[in-house]
Amino acid sequence: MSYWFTIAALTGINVLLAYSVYASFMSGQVSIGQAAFFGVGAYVGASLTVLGGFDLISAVLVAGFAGAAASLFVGVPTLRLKGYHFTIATVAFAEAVRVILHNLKYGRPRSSGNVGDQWLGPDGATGFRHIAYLNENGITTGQYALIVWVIVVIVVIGFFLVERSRIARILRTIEEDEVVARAIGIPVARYKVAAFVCGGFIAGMSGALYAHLLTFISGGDFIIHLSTIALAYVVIGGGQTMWGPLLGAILFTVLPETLRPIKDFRIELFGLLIILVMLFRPTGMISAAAVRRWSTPWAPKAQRKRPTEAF
Amino acid sequence: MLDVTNLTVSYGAISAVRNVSLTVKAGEVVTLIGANGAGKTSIVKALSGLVPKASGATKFRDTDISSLPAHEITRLGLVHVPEGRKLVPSMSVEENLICGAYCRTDKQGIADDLDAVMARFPRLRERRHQLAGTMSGGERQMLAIGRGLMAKPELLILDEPSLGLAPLLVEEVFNIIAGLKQEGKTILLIEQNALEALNSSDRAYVLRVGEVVMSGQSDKLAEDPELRRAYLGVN
Repeated sequence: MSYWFTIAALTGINVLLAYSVYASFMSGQVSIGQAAFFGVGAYVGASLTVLGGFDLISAVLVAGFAGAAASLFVGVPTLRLKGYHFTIATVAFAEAVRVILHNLKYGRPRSSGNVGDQWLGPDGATGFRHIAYLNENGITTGQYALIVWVIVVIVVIGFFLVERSRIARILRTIEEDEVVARAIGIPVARYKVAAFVCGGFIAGMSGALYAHLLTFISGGDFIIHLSTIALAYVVIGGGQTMWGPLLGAILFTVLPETLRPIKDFRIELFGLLIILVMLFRPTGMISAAAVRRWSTPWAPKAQRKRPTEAF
Repeated sequence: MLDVTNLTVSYGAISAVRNVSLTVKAGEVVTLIGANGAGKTSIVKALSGLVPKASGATKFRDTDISSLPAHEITRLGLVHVPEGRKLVPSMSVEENLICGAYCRTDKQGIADDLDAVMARFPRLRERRHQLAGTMSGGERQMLAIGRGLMAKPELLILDEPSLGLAPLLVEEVFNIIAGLKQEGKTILLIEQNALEALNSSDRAYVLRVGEVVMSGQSDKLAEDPELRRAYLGVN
């Protein structure tokens, strides 16, 4: 059972990561650097509970702000770049952060511990071990999964409300055509940075939750693979509405686990699924049109005109 | 209302517009005509802040807008309807119109103007819930102009509104412009269709490779033999 609680918590963490991509995706900016903000959040969150004596929720919130600060640092200069240039800049930044995390050493000696394992805090390439907050405070995996999902629900509600507000229309205008957005009078750069920083905040929180679940993190956890998977959740789940990232992250965390019996083939099956979705549903599994159809089930279905009616 | 002195616009080392001066007074319809590459679009993009102005002074309603960013210029009431009927195709007609009122906060005024725009273009009312991307070229142009009007412009800049439309629709676009003119709106019109543009404007500037080569009353320019030969294709 504990195994499935771990999966549940991990799913929630991945949902948050997917939403961190989706935030800037709404303004048409594709980031492949979310692993950086996730990693910063993980290190900050873990340091606060292990070395700083913070409680979990405050540590997660501060980690969120750390992620936001990091994304502000990247966002302000790079969001002036367009399209792919921005994406490449995020990749480069994520690599830089990974290398920094890999070489970070601070903390204090541990009173107990075996030889070679007497350090509390990140210890260079060895990583950051003994993030024992859950254990020390008697929080079970099930309770932790619940905490994670409460945060997920808050974030989902937040996106639900934003998507029905004026802000969503503004972001969509920026996504479709920046020239139009500027001609209408929208301060494009400001909105793009704000969306990106919100994404950084969510990624930071997600990273802190991840660190406490795993109890051991190292720079090697925050490689580009993580960033690409996070983007895949959004693209495959569907980037047009907030339901896509939710479905994508849940499916792509739970599915590989349930497919464990078929062992090595599960990764291949996973890849095949991605290809099939991209071939047959390029808008992702949940498109905006599908959401419109489901949310107004009483509306008559659009009739396709028969050729004879055209005359 | 708009005073431009010695405007220069450069893209890298190439200057697309050199020392252009022009004025638009309140209530006037002024047109910029010229062949492809004459710098018409560059001028209006620079005016609305979409491309930077290399040098020159630009004053709009007594405010210096030479170095203001685009969104602040729009806020002052200089509204640019860009070339190519740019819309947000995945949003409905109504949503596109409401987006045009981004800078305004008077809810009642926005609702009234939405009604007014739909009364002006009944076609848009019929299609208010349709996605903008599924409309025809003429309807899109109406929507683009309608969106510009939603911003409550003091000066409306229309960039090539007749470009790529069927002759019947071109006529309709110029009817719309005539209607706006009658209501006393101030318009700066960019056109390749020189004859129609001269017919529906008070004054005109003729551009050639980034410079103003002729200017004056539209009806006088329409009689000018040299201009007729070069731009109207008549002898």
